[in-house]
Amino acid sequence: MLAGVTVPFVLLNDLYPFFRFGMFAEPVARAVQTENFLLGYTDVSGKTHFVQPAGVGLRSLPYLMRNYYYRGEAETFLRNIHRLHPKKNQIAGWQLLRVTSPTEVYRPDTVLAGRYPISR
Amino acid sequence: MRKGIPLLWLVALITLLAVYLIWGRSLAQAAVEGTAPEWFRGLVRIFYPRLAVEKHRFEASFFLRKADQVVLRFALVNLVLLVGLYLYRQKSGFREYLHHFWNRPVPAERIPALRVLFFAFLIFFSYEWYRDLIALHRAVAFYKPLPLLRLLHLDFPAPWLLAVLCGLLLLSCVTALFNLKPVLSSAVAAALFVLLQAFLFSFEKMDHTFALLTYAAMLMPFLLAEHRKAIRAGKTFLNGWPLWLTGLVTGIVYLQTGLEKLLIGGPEWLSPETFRNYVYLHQAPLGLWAARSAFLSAMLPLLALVFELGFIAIVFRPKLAWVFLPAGVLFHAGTYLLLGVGWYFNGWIATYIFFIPWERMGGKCWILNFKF
Repeated sequence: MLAGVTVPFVLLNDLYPFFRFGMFAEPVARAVQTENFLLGYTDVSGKTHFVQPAGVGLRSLPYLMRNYYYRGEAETFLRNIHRLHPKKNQIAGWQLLRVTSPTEVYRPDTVLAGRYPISR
Repeated sequence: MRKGIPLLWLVALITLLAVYLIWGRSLAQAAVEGTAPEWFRGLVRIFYPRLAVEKHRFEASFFLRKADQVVLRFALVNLVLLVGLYLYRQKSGFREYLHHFWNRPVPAERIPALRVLFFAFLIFFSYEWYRDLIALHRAVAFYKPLPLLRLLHLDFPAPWLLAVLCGLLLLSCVTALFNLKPVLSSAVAAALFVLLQAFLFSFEKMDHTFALLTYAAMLMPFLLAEHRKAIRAGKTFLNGWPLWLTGLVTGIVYLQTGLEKLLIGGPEWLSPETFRNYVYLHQAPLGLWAARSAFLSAMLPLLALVFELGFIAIVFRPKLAWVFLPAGVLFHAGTYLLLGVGWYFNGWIATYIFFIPWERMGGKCWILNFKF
């Protein structure tokens, strides 16, 4: 048990069911940019809607958006999201947006990180 | 020969450090650049799967610092073990202290209250899991099983199986709470508590909210087995090692949270600026108010660090529990109010029950001695 608790601390990584506790350990520089991802869809009338994590039943949605984006799998991510969305028929296309801004001054810079048009 | 073991250990440790500096560091760099040999990349995939994402977010120096940290921590842990081994062999006082530490008896009267509270908390903290798991079942395309689940070749369960597993967890907690086959019930509860969390965390996000409860759940069957053994032998005290181990593990976890801040953040972590930047990131109203005060911005991180590093003292000086347990409640409530993380009452506070001498609290409750 003691070894199990110690190994994640040494390896700086969770080895479930044992955990590493590195939250709030890194000092945050004021100049650092925050990064957020937004998930949105355009409905058949052309109106854009943004989706909250609760809307797709995924608390880890922010992590999934970031991870799929950095792995270069944004389209796969959007296709999967489309599959689990309850109002598929009303959706014309999905977009993944990457928003970066400095922490102190809210001056966001938004780029389209992924697109998944629905073909009918 | 046995006398030479600590010396051999030390030589091996120094050799390992030298090998890392000469060869290992460049191997780590190669792993970030994607040019490392396949066997090393395989190791990285197992132990550091986040590299695939993080190498796009951070510079190579970030990963080299991480590799240095792994080696530094490995050396630190080995040095602690080496010093411990040396003291154990050379100092009879230390040897006696260790034996006494693990073999301190626990009054059998303490266990029923612990059992009832612990399994009530397991029910309290897991009652929403079925709903969460059903929601995740719809998102099964994102399922990336943790290594434990891959090892067991477990796919994400069908809804009916989720209902059975969650029902079994509830049932085993209830039977353990009511002292019906407590050892078996607690073992089943622990296994399901670990398994169901594994499914919850297999969507690329690990949550540490239940970490201490998970460790305590793994040790609870041993504590209840010792209790049963003592009761059957007509003893009023039981062998307390599972309780002391639960306390030690809790203390080590808090120590690790403090050490992480010192090893990763360094002295800079204690600067008021670091505290303010965390507050600005999370935007909690009370945090923003505290960040305006120079005194609070300097004192709050210092107090948090002293608490985390000092908590383990109650393992060796139980009377300090009356200082550190209320401080812990304030610490977790403060984390919620200042940074918006967690909640007032969380799974970490729940494990404080293992530090309370319930037999001295007086009063009898029917549920503590309930027998079918």
